[in-house]
Amino acid sequence: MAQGKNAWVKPLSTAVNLGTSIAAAIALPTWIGHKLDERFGTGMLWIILGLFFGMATAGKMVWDRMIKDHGDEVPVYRRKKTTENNDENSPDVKQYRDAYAEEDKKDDDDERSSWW
Amino acid sequence: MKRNRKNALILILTVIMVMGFATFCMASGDAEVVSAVPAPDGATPDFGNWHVMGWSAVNFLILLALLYKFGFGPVNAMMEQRTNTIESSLKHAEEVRVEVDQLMKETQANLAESRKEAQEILARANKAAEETKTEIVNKAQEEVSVMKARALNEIEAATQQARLELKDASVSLAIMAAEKVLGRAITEEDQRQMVKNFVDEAGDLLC
Amino acid sequence: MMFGMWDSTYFHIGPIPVDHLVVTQWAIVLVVALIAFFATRNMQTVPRGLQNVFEWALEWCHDFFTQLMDNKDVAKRFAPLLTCFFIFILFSNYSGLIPGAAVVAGFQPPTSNWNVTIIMACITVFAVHISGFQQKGFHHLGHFLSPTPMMLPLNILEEITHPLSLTVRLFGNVFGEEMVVAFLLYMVPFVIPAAIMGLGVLLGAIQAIVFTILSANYIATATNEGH
Repeated sequence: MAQGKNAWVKPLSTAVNLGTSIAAAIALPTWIGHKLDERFGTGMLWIILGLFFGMATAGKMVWDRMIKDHGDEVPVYRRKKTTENNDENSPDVKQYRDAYAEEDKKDDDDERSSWW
Repeated sequence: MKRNRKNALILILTVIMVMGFATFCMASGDAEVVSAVPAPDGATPDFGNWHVMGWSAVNFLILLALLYKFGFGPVNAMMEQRTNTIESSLKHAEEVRVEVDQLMKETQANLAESRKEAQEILARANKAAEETKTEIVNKAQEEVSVMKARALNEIEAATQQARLELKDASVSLAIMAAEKVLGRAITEEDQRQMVKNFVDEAGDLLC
Repeated sequence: MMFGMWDSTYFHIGPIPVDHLVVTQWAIVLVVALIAFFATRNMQTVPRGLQNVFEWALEWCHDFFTQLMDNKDVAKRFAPLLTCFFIFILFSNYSGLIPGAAVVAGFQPPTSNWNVTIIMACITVFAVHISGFQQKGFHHLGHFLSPTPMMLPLNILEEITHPLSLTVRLFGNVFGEEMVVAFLLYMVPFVIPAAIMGLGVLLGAIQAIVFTILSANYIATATNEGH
């Protein structure tokens, strides 16, 4: 949906989808774990396992959605300098390069006097 | 909306909602709740009601079938028909345009040809006119010269005639004069001889 | 006599009980079928009136849902199903706003019961896997092992979570809105239920759109050449 005036539909649907998907993805294995615990009586083992499993699944779903929607974007300060992109004074490159110029100059060994 | 109207609307809505809450407060102040509708039962529906599931699946599929039959079928057919109509009319318009171009080209060619022909005719007519003009001029000149020659001849003839008459008249005059001088009549012959000799001498002098 | 009390059966057709919900569903199907029937009765090349509106609606739905899917013939095949989803869910979400929705016998919004929404989620699951098998044959099962084979349990759980989230999202929204309106009508019957009903209008449309967008996304994921 790349229409200009209907462009709020896709982010809205992503938001609604992710909310309930994460909730459902975490809740279902936890509930299954609870039922298994009642059946086998092993304390909270299966609940915890189900919880982690659910969180992993939720994370995978969010990751997939993020890659699908924004997978082809590269941050400006990580763009490789190609022969077409020789414009070193373009404002966004300059801004990020200036922001990270000081950090790039620092060497890690100079910074750390001791390791704690 | 203008600002005043918007503010007024917000004010009215707030007043109405406050009155609604006031109703609620007054209602809950009583010992027994008096309300138009009875209390709702907050139970969620039970899961696993297979009859409802079955019926809703059946209903949804019935809706799908009805939409296919009455919705998508005719609408898609109408879209196809419309596309075909537009395409055919566009193609027709294209053909007509090609024909019109052709016709225009032919007309242009015809026009050029006819113009060339007209120019030729004009040139020919000019040439003919020129020739006729020279002819007429020559003929006129010829006539003029002929007339001039004739006139000269007539003048010559008239001059000769006049000279002869003058000669005769002068002969008569000379005879009258000689008669007068001599006082007698000169006989025909010797008067004639005398006069003729005199006139010839004078005539050679004169003419 | 309020919302939530109408989950019992209304009458029986032979041995099969018919709930109040089912009667409402029949009514919705009838209304939509009547609109469709009258809109396409004498179709003209230049549409007017009801035919125009109906054609515009179907055309909008078709465009909206086919641009989510990259594969064009899959989109053409599944657009009617998604349009049907959209129309059904929209009408049944809005049937809760009609006066007498949860009060009159035999009138209850169908999607406020999770039996109905789980059936629609099941239809989506069938559509996803059927389209996957049609497009890719048995390689469709390969997407379970998609990044690494170690992710198999996660992928299976994701396959179960998708229809579950569809169900619970739609059911929760409509049921919650209905319940809040019922309680407000009991306590403060004056104007405040109207505010919640207005929210219900917005939410009903959003939920219908989100359900169909997600179904379209799942079908598109199952049929593209990514995996």
